Amino acid sequence: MNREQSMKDKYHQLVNQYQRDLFRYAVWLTGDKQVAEDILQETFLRAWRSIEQLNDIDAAKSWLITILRRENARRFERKQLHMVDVDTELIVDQHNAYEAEQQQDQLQQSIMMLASEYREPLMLQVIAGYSGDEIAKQLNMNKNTVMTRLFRAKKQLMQIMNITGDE
Amino acid sequence: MNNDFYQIAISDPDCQALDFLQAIKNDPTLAAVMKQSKQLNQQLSSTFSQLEPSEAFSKKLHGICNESPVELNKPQSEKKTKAYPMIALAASFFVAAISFTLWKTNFNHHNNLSVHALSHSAHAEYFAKISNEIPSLQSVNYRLKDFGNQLSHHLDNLVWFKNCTFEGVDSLHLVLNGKQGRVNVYVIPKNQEFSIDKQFNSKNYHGVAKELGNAYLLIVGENDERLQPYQQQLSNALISI
Repeated sequence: MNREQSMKDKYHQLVNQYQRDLFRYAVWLTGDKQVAEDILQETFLRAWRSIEQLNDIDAAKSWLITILRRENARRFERKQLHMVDVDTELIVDQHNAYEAEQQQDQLQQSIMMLASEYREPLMLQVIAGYSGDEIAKQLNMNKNTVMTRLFRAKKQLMQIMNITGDE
Repeated sequence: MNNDFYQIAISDPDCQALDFLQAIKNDPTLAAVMKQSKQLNQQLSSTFSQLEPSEAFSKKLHGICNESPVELNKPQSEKKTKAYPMIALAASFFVAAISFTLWKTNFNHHNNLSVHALSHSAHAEYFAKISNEIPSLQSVNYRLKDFGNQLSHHLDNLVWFKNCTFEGVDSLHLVLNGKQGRVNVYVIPKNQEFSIDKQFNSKNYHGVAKELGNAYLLIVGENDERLQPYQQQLSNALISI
């Protein structure tokens, strides 16, 4: 097998394995499916161009999430128009596409209402299956800060969803 | 209830630390909180997993490796092993001279959006060529309203759209399926700091610009593409709001 084909195989493996999780992560990060697709395309384009740098396939998930977060941050280096309005578009779109139940809708809206500093660790826990330590490493944060943010995010969601979580 | 364990039960209900598991065993209230937190995680997971990338989008992701060159690490044997200070110095002067010339050229054209539209079209060529979506009228109008315009009807040849930045100015980039290739359409808010040419061209692309209420409409296509039909199509479809 030649070198280029071997790299292509590695790339296809990455797409197959991580496109779903990264797509979900990008949608909930940006609140807009179109923007999420743009970011994901850029992410995989950059990943492909640097595929030779990826020596350890087990480290790929973290590597891809790092690229994706950088791509997302680039959006904010530019002036954005009406960022707040975009959330509604996602909710409407979701509602039409999946005819989700009322509670599911409420949960989706509640997630989007969370501040991004709370939403992101939560997504890494639920979508990527990361532990507190892994989230802390990925976000370059102290583990205690991560756990506090996770706690606050979930408490907010529990209150909205009428789950008591009382002491 | 121990406050530390309570926080763990909420923030990380799958925690396997022995002291936490022991506390759960001894405290039914804590166990109930952990159970509720696990249920919330399941609900979240179910909400997140409803989102699936489309098959067309997945194909596009797979296609990237066929459309774009990879940055190959050079084999060790090809790498330069010896330094040549004089050659390096000469090369530095050469690079500096070229950079200065390019900088001057860029500076002269810095405020001309027509020039930027040509280079942006060349830069976005890769995505414009592989995109083959049918954006909904609703989603395009959602973005267009920021520019004081709406489409009165769906454009059959519209295959892609995206917000982009022109010299720091937010604009909307639409891609149409043309007869010779893809036709790029830019909607840019009017700004006195920038100049715009009515007609412009480069080696591979040419473009036209027209006013559209408080925005400019720039249409850029490959040199052998007639732009007048697209001008007409957009004039018929766009309404100022």
